[in-house]
Amino acid sequence: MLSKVYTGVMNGIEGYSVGVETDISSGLPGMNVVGLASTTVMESRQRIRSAIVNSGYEYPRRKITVNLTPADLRKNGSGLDLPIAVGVLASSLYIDARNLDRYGIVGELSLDGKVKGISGILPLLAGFKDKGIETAVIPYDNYEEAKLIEGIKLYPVKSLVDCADAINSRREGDMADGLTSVSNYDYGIDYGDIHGQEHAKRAICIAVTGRHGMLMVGPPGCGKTMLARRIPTIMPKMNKDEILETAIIYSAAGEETRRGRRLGERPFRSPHSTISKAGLVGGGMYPVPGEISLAHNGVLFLDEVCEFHRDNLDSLRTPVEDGRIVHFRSGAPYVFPCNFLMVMASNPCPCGYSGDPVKLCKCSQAQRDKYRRRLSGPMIDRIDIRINMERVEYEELATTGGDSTVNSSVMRSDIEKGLAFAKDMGRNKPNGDLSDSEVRLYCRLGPEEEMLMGKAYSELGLSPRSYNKVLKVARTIADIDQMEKIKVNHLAEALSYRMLSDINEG
Amino acid sequence: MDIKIIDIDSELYPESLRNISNKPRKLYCAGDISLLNEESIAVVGSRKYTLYGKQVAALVGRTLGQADVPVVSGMAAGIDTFAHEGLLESGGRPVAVLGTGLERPYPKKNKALYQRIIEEGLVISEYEPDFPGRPETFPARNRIIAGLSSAIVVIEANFKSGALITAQFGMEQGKTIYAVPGNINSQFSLGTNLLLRDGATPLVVIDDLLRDLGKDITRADTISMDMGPDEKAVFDTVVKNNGISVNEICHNLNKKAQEVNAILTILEIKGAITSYGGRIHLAK
Repeated sequence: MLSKVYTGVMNGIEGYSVGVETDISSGLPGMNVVGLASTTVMESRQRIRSAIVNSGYEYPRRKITVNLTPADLRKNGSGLDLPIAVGVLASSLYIDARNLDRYGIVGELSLDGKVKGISGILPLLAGFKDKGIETAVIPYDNYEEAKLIEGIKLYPVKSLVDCADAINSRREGDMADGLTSVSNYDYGIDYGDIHGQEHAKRAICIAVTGRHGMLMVGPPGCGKTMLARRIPTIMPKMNKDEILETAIIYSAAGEETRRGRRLGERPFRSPHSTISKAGLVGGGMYPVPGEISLAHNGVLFLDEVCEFHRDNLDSLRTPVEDGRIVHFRSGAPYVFPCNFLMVMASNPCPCGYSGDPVKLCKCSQAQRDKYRRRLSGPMIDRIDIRINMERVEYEELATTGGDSTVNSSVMRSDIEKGLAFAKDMGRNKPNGDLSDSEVRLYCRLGPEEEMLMGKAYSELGLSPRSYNKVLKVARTIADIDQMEKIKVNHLAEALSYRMLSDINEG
Repeated sequence: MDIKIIDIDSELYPESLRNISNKPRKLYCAGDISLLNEESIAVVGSRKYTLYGKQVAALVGRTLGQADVPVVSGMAAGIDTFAHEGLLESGGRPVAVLGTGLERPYPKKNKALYQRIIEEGLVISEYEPDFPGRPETFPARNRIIAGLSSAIVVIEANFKSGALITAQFGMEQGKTIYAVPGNINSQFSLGTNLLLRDGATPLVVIDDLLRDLGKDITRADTISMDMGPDEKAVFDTVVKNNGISVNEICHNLNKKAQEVNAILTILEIKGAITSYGGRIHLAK
């Protein structure tokens, strides 16, 4: 007998609904799956057989044909186990096939008939919603995560028997309520933990407000990583859309189920310098999001940026400019968003002591030059703010910073003021992303300010490119001060964060 | 390039080199060969340097340039380069002694400087013009640097620096050795401080160099800058604590980082300060 079950597969971070047609007819016993199924799906035949038998049903000793529609869509993932098993049971009359069309079913089976969680539940549910399916039958393990989606009923199941019962008795799940309230996420860390370093904290405030790419240069142990880790604590609260976008990416990458990231936590991704290109920007035969997409709506921190392979850094260029990355696989585009604040840290040289007044740097000039060349071209273009940090002696840490009044909530209020002001002025994109013509429009200077920039041009050796960057950063500083016009002090401060050709000078 | 070859038997051969041991048989020269017989001072130091060394080297170069005393150096990266750059800034005449042939100067990075030295001064080598240099030829040319000059100034040198070899040659030849004192915990000044312990003259006032040569010191070198009260306060803090960090200025003056950063930029534009490795120094 023929039956039809609705399910879905994920491609990239989008869910597509898929039909599973099952027919049992006379012939040699066995199961054939057609319809561009991947290896995981082909292997599911073995799991399905055992799961059905171990759940107490009889496995049909006839020829089973499974057709996955649409036939031209590639189907990957273990989530097809449960729908195919349901199709087999429906075709062997254990399940009432008339009830099937109201359900969308996904889940992986283990040999004993239990249903296990799958990755990418959120995109799949979004696919079900588009298709008009009323109730989604999902693995119990995915229930918490699935509740984020609004407007679809969820029925979580723990086993194949549960699933069969639910369909036979026409159970309806509870309507998922979506995200009801967004509470402030508590990161457990705070800028108040770091004594002193007001200089760096201020620069970070500006970088977050205008989403300016930032580079911290300093010897080992001066606190670069500590400062970077705390950036999410001062970023504005995530809104509903951002939470859902981020959750979908994490869901597709399987990170949500693996790590149990909590809602409203801004991503902080800190890939190691040995990461592969695919790990960084995403990839694979069935593309999965890479670090840059996992950092979407959050921070991408490249520690020891000069240790990264040039190729990998260069591959960041287009995605960073577009705010998304497109992978093409068999002619079909897979689009992943990647809007993040880029923060980089570097030692001044391989050993870390170049420029130190006391300790001797052990690197040769050639080594130092090579190290710095890694950070040329495209990456330097993304750096609006550069700060040099000095080595901190233990005693200094203990004595100079007695009270650290600059904590995360103080910094966040500065940032929120700046963002609100920029919005009032009708600018909806971060200042770091302003184009050259927008810079001319929004960053007009008065005569006194022009004079300062003229002097800076000649005295500080400013390049035309860094000129525009200084203007953008000055615009952000003026936003934080809630000033419509950029003033001399804004420019002067912005100039102190300018990028230099030699990362050690200045 | 116009290369002149001066043989040891030539009357152009500098008298000062005739008295040293292992004197070069031939000198390949490009530039103004009259400099060979002028009283000059060698300014040398290591390739690795701190801002302190860079500033002192440039200052010594500038001062000697103003007094029109030729400066002999090795044109190596670091201190040698800064000394000659400072000298050229004030219109002085440089002499560079290479460890390679004249057609293959090293390091390549100094190509522009090399051209200027040929135009404004003199370059010398004892090797064939196409000789690429070997590790031992660089220390060997230091005896010529020492030989040509009447005094040797060592700016910064770590324990193994080639500048110490120059000083060693100088001592053997009976030249005055000046060493610039540095912090005793600084690796960059270890060599110069050791020279001082062993009897070199500490270079504490740059003008001493000129006084010892019997030159007049007539310079009108006044730095006048108009500063607002805030700028003055920040500048005074830097004067008191050369090499202070931005954070420390913030704490000392009880100002916010944004104000201090803005003021420091203005001071930098005015040429009063410079920043290096995350710390703020006086520009001169």
